[in-house]
Amino acid sequence: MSRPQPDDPARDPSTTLPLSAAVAHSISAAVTRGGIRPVDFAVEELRRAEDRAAWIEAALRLAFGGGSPGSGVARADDLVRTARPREELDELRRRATMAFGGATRVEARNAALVAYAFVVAAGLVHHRALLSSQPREEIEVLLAELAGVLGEPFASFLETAVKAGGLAA
Amino acid sequence: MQRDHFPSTQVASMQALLTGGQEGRARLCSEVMQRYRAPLLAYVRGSSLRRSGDPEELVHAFFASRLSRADFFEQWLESGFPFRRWLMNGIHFCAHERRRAEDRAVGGEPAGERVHEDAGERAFERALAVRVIESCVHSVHQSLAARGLERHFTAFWKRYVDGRSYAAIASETGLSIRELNSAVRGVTAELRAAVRAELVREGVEAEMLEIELSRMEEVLRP
Repeated sequence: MSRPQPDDPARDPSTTLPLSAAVAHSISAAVTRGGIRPVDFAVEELRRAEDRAAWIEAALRLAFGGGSPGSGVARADDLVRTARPREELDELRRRATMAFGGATRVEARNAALVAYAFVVAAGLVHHRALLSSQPREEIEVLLAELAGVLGEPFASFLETAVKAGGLAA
Repeated sequence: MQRDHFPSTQVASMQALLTGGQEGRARLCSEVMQRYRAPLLAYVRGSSLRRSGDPEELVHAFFASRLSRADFFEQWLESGFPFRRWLMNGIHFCAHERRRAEDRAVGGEPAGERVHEDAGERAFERALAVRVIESCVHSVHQSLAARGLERHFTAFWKRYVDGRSYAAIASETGLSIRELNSAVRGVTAELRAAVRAELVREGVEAEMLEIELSRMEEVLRP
């Protein structure tokens, strides 16, 4: 039985048995990393939040240290609607990364992760650039998980970012 | 892979089969052959045993001679060995017996033999890991198909085996990004549960499961 080609959307994965060691490794890697991830904590906290939009704004203020280098407080709405310069997004990403690494409480880590996701999404949507050293696959999952728990306009913004990331890859 | 005895529930299950008369014993033998045939073949091919003749013949002879012994499983339970180690030791004895039966001299092992044994053990671990993943992929795929969720399995496959982006898979399957992510997460969770259950069947203690998952990935790495 031959392995189907990636561009064959109609193929039946059952015809791929028996598995080669390489395919078994790919699946094993997915299973190994399929445990609890940092984004799961953020999603859980967002699910519990009474006002998720307010939670997002508070998270961004906390992670960015109150403001962005260019134009005052970086609000989530701004990141969604406005194409901020790449240098500014780079600086916000750096702050979010520092906030994540320095967080001692899970709430602060969640806030930093969500802020990071919004900046990376803004890079993808407005600049078609992946402003992250993380693998594209991990960024896609991060953005898609948050899209699944947020309302509009954030969910569509994050989904658009995932699509833009895929096109850029 | 780190293995201890079968956990108490597994020992009880094996003992139940052993005390279940001919039928129970036959079922246990069948399970052992199905589970360990390919790993043992890989072990024979990768170890010094490869000089003992045709690997298929040796594994077949091993199963035929050992599993027919009335006390094979009882001796293992008393031995304190992990089952896989019991099998690897057993096939060495079986090979020596075959050599003696053929009236050949059995000399000392040449230098470098340990290297061959290590390679054989790695091949055994690798083949067993492939078998575990394969079995879980099969059962999860069947389960998803029965629930009308074939598309979810396809999405998982495209994602992790073909390495496709979410954007590409969404375009091919008609799923939204959110639906796609949810589907892939669901299939991953089912596979993860299936693999963990298989490892428990193999005798891995609950607290060792995460380490064992990582070790499986490591032995499968190309």
